[in-house]
Amino acid sequence: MKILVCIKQVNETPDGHTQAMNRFDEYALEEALCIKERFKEAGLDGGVDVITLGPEGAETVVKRAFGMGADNGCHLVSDPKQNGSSAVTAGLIAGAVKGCAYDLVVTGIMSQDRMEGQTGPILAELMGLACATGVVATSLVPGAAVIEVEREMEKGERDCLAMTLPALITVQAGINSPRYPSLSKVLKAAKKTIKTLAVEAVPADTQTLVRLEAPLKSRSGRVLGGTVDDKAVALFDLLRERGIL
Amino acid sequence: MRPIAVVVEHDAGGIIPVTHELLACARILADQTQSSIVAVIPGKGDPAMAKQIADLGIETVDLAIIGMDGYNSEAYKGALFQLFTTLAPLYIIVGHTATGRDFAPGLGVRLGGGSIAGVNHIVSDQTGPLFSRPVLNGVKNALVRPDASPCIIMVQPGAFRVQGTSFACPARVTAMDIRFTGGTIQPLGIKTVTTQGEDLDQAAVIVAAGRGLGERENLDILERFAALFPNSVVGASRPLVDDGWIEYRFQVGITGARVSPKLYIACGISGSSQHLAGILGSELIVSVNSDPNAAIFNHSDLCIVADLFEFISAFERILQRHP
Ligand SMILES: Cc1cc2nc3c(=O)[nH]c(=O)nc-3n(C[C@H](O)[C@H](O)[C@H](O)COP(=O)(O)OP(=O)(O)OC[C@H]3O[C@@H](n4cnc5c(N)ncnc54)[C@H](O)[C@@H]3O)c2cc1C
Ligand SMILES: Nc1ncnc2c1ncn2[C@@H]1O[C@H](COP(=O)(O)O)[C@@H](O)[C@H]1O
Repeated sequence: MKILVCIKQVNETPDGHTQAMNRFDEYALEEALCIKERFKEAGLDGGVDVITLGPEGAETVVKRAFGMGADNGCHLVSDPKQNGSSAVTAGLIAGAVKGCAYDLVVTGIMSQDRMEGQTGPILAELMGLACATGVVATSLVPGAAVIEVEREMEKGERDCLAMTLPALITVQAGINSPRYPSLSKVLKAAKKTIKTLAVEAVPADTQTLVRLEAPLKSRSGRVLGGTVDDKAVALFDLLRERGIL
Repeated sequence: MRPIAVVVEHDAGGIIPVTHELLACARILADQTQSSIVAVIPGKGDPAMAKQIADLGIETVDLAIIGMDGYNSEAYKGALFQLFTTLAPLYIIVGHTATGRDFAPGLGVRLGGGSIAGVNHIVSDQTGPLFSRPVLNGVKNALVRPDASPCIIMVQPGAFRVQGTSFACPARVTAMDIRFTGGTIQPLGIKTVTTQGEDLDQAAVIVAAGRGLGERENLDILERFAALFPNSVVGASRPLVDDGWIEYRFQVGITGARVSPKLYIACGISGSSQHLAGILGSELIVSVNSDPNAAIFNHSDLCIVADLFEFISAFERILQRHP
């Protein structure tokens, strides 16, 4: 069972000082590691590779993945000015893994910064794989060529389906409890090499970012001023006035 | 003239309300681009459903995908690819829903076009329509211009208002069959896992906790704060439920409950579109967040920029003085 997981490094704080693995990708990686372990228990081989597209420095996220238990890692080094949409990300990843025969590709449901949720399903299309998004449960019989998944729908419903491998899934948060990197794996990770690939030709994007804007307001948004006590008094007064308190 | 196509969302119970929001979005685009609208119902063929849409004055294609049993992304992509190759729409409007998110991006690639996710607003520009979508946890909207055609617009549920239905002459329904013969996805049915509790529905005041809470132990502080209000309950954003801090029935948002209390107090919640979708029916929304740029403040009546713990202590002190 060869599994590829797409992971992204994102800014955790607006100033970009703290960077972390996209929270949604931790669930994707954890799910891949659990599947690999199930195969190992059944005496079958399994390996989890991770790939990230990002500027120099983004390989930190690969090291974290090694610490969690990933076997191999690849960093596709992009130009820091590059601001492509999920279509470009998926195109570059598809190009980089061409010829690698993965049984399963796993991505997160969305990136915290771009929030498109499209890299996975576009990548599936480019790689010619069946695809299921928003997966909240997986089961596969080691050795069998099928994965059964449950997709989260609105209203607490789940769409259950079986896909023939190879396939791609995008994993929804809450599917598992992502592990923390273990000290022994982190130490071993220090000796592992990350395959580095330069981005050569960037595929044409399907959209251009024209500008960023402040979101529209749907309510008045009265901002309370003063000290924290003043703010508490103001809320108290308003709720008394409205008869809530 | 290239039309604007709308992919109708439906389930066993019929047309899903979000479909009317998709039509509202299509009307805005149709006005801006002088195009006509055509609705497509991918399914088993359902003349009654098709009539419901056509009666709104919208030309409708009742697309029976022979060989598809229940939703199947392969069947959707295959059949819609065939239909749209001949229909040549300028834009294709799809819900940014569990279903839309599943088939639309791949369909866009197959059609040689593109797809824009989570669209919440359309701006008209000399170069044509620009589409707004949230980025950075909703702190900003990105305005994007499609560079590939057709462009699939994945519409954020709740973002487009449904206009009152004005009288319209019923439009034509075209019935169409497309055979589906793929075989890599096999549907195993829909399962209902959780029924929402009544706690959130019945509460007059919801104090909602977000990741800003930091530690699970701090939930006690929120419980105490909520207890200050009559008929109140603690709700939560999704990550707290994902982490097992709170049961699913207390989750607010697009994949949780849509609530409409008298008062909603969001504590340490950033205001992602998925959370907002659940709270906009509240009478009064108060938000406490330490980040003055948090998106939630755009959708609040009262904005309290503060550390939530300091604010709660201050509020408790005030209440002690005015019992
Ligand atoms: C398909 C899909 C469905 C989803 N459905 C839902 C859903 O139904 N409901 C839902 O909630 N989410 C849902 N999500 C997740 C959603 O995208 C966000 O990840 C989530 O809402 C963020 O939760 P949050 O605001 O609590 O956390 P964050 O976005 O991390 O925000 C935490 C906030 O706390 C503030 N803060 C930090 N410390 C303090 C402090 N001491 N005092 C005050 N403020 C502080 C920060 O400034 C920040 O704004 C869904 C996502 C997807 C992809
Ligand atoms: N730069 C990237 N490198 C690797 N994987 C990515 C990258 N961007 C997005 N992904 C993957 O695609 C998913 C969806 O991202 P997005 O389409 O940006 O919302 C993420 O959860 C990741 O698994």
